[in-house]
Amino acid sequence: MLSEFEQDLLKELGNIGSGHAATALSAMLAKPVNITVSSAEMEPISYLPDRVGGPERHVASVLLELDGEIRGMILILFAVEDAEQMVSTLISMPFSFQSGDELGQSAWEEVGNIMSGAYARALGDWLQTPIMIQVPATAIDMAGSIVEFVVTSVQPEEDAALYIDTTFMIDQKVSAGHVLFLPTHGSLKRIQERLLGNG
Amino acid sequence: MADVLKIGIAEWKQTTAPNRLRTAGLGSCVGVILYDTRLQLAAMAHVMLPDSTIARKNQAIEVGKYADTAIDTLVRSLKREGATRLQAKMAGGAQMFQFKYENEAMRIGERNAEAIRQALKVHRIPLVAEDCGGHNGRTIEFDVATSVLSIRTVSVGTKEL
Repeated sequence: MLSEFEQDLLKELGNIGSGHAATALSAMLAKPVNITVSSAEMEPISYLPDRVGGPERHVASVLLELDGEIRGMILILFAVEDAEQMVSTLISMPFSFQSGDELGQSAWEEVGNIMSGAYARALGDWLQTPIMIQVPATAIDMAGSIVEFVVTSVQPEEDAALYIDTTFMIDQKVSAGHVLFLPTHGSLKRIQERLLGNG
Repeated sequence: MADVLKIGIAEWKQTTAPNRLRTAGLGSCVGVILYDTRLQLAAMAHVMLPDSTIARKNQAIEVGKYADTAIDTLVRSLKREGATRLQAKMAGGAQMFQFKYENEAMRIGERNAEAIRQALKVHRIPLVAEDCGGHNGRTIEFDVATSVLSIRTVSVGTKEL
């Protein structure tokens, strides 16, 4: 497990990443975006579905795979209603995922692209190592199913993920986002080494 | 009174009618049920990974987590209660995200389902029904009294096996 010092450094990463994401969103929406990072901590993976509203909560998610020196995944989750609200602001008309509206769907993918990229860049800058990313994938489904899939895909024996709660405020409307960073086992070690100045 | 027993990730539980067994938010994991209709007895496991040999050495194994150890444990436990004619149903093993470039780890759902099919074959237990694969999460509930497996997905709603 990580020491308290290392956990504090990871929390700092949460703040930096959310700051980058807000700047990117603001540029995309051409509107001010205010953020509040309410928590950023390492949590056991088994707690994660409950942190996002229970395993059956419908969520809109974006998954980005990280490659290079640091490997793992970044998963962003929004309650479906919050994601729809963000997309509605972006395309200036009401949007629901069920409608199958293509403009809204691609706008959501773009939001996911920009946000996950912002967190990945923050991570790379902070660790001073290049991180390679592909185009992220999106899914609208049950929180438990999504988290479980990501956890098993990344590193089955790893027992904790960095969990960041960020609230985005756009046009006085609040969207609560949950960001999970799951490094592979070897990558968590590399991050620790870097944090302690031995990397 | 009938109870609904909830099974979390990598857990397993056993019960009798009129109780039901439930596991929520299956993604790449597979929910597998072994049951004996004569005894109105059933057990469910929420299997996360195909093979226990990848577990780190010197680490206590959670038996419900792996397909091989889960099936072995369920069979042993049900037989201890006198079960003789076991049957099986299962659901899950989805691929929640579709990437342009997929790696082997993404196919974990498919491998989970296949590992369970193999383990059932070894124990000569017939797989009566299954709903595996696809790209949707599932919540499943097994009624021990009727052996009906209800499967709920976000996109399709509820169906029964």
